[in-house]
Amino acid sequence: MARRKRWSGWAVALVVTTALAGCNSGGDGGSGGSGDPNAAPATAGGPMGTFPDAKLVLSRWAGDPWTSGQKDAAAQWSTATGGKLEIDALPYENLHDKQALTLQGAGGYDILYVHPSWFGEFAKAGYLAPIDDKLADAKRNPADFSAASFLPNVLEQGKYDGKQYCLPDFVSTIVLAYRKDVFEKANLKPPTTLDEVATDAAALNGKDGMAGIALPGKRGGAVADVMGSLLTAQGNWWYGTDGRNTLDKAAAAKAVDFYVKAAKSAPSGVLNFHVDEASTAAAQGKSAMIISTTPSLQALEDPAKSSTAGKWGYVPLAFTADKPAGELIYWNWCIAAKSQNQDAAYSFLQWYTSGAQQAKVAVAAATAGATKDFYTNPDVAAKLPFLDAMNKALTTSNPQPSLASWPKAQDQIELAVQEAIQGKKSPEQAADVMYEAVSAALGG
Amino acid sequence: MNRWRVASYAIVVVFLLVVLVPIAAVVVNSLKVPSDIFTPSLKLVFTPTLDNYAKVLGDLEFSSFLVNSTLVALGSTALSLAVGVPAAYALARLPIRGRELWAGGILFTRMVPAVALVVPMYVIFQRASLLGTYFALIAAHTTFNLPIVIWMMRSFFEELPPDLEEAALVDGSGRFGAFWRVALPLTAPGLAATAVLCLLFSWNEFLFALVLSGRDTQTVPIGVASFIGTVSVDWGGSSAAAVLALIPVFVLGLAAQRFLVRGLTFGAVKG
Repeated sequence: MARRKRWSGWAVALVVTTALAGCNSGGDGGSGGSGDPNAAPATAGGPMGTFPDAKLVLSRWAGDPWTSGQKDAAAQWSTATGGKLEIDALPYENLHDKQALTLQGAGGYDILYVHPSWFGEFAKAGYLAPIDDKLADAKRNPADFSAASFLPNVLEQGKYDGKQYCLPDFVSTIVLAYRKDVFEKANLKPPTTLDEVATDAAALNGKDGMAGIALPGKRGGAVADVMGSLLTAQGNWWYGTDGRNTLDKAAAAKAVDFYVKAAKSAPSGVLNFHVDEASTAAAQGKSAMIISTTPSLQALEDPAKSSTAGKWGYVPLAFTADKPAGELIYWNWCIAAKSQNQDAAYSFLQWYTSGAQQAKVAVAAATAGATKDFYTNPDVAAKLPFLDAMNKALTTSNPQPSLASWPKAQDQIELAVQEAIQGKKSPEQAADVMYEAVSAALGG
Repeated sequence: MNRWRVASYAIVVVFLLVVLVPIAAVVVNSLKVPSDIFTPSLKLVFTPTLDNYAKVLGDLEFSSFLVNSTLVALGSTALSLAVGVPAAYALARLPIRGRELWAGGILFTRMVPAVALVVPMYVIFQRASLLGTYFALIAAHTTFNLPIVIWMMRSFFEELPPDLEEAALVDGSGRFGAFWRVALPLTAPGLAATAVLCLLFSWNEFLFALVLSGRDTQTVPIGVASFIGTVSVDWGGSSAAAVLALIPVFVLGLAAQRFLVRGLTFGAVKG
């Protein structure tokens, strides 16, 4: 009797569980279904293929205008192909963990927006599907689209162990923006070297209630991006293609020294500035210059956010005049290895990373595409006043590190910069810390 | 007015400022356009706009987060009360061997950090094909609400004079009848206070919601955090979302204020 009661209890629990599971939003994943990946676009420039039964889920970070633009693009893709594409947008800080948890489990994502710092981890773990065959297949790509359509050094970043896994976009770098009116009033020429930047920042600091220069000082990636650009501008980088530590401590110390000098002419609280706080300060006339990522500089030219719109000039970072350089910042669009909709997922990747679609993203969000035709689009050039400086910087560039172990090194690098700014470490001591952090990330 | 009273008023005023100024700032920012938010100095005179609310409720579909949070909070609270209140009564009244040990064990589960539970829960719900469902979130939130219910309600039941239930037992009622008809109605303020706390904890929970929810079951904390992007923070949108998230809690707090005060001080002056 007691046993029957116990079993009946379990049965009730099972029924309740099943009933509540009925509240499910539909679960994750979707069926592969029928479709034709080679079907021509319904309209010129539209996505390839038809996928009437496909239900896809795309994982990316949340934040406008990107998320809204992505939803619009997903709706257009769905209309054109018959497939259904849903966006799972999460806070950036939680994106890696949620993607990793989902991918190591039963799956649930078809398309993933993957940051370089965890691309290596995902590719090594087998979470991503290679796309070499699809990219090389002329039938499933528009006539003008192939691997050759992309900037080679950017496309290369989506490779792991010789296989192409992802297609890039969100191309950006670090450049300097300066107030043309302020420089003119102070009889200063636009800076051509970083030494001039430090000198001009010190000279302009405090004049008319404005700081000399704003730049990110908060740990979270941007400080390491600036450091990467400062190293590249000296012909140096964290590590070589053979995976060995190539950091020149003297170059690292020089970069930190510049950072410290610049921070002395920065608005108060610079250690709490991420790129948006820096660009907000500059946009509101609190700073004569700013060093930041190109997407964040859009805020300078947006009249809704900026009281200084139209007053900015842009130059690449250079320690030696006419030798500009920058860190290549980008994101990867990848297909989950467990996706049952890989043809449909590729259709979206191909279409979304094409120059025409990326031009629409650029107009809305000031990020750049990775295809060659993007950079010859006149609409884009008009929308992105820093495009010329960005192109010059990226002619000599190193990509954001994509080692699985890099996030920890990045944090240590940024902490060393912060401690140098606070006077707790000399630039040389900070460089030593960076060297050790890079060595540890490289496994020795 | 003596100086101690002045000092106590001053402390209350400072406390209120610390608590209310950030809330006021969020409300004000939710009514500003970006150019009024990003000003060199605080801008108190501006033309209010509902654009942020229109965007949050329209384009960004924040209402779905509110609906999800409501379902999860109500579900978790109901489940926690349904299981926890009888358990609390049993621990308060029944001669259970090792009663304090059981009670301590239940309290211990509340002390386990959520981060230590989230991965095992993810695996369990994944294998049960329940990831992304309301049930997963309700069950997860019940893990931290249940100990609260049991411990709070146990103390309320213990404060009741046992004579009333014994009289009911003498009059022919069973133990469940004594619990249902006598003890439970007398602890109604405590029950209300406990329910409100459960609702609040569930409403504000982030980690389980992040890991266990699906794209259609994400709750308010995920929605608010989503305004923090890689490049910038949508201060107007996040402020409007925060205000929308605040309203149900504020209304609930006001409605349940009487029960909260009575419930949280229930038995405190027992002689």
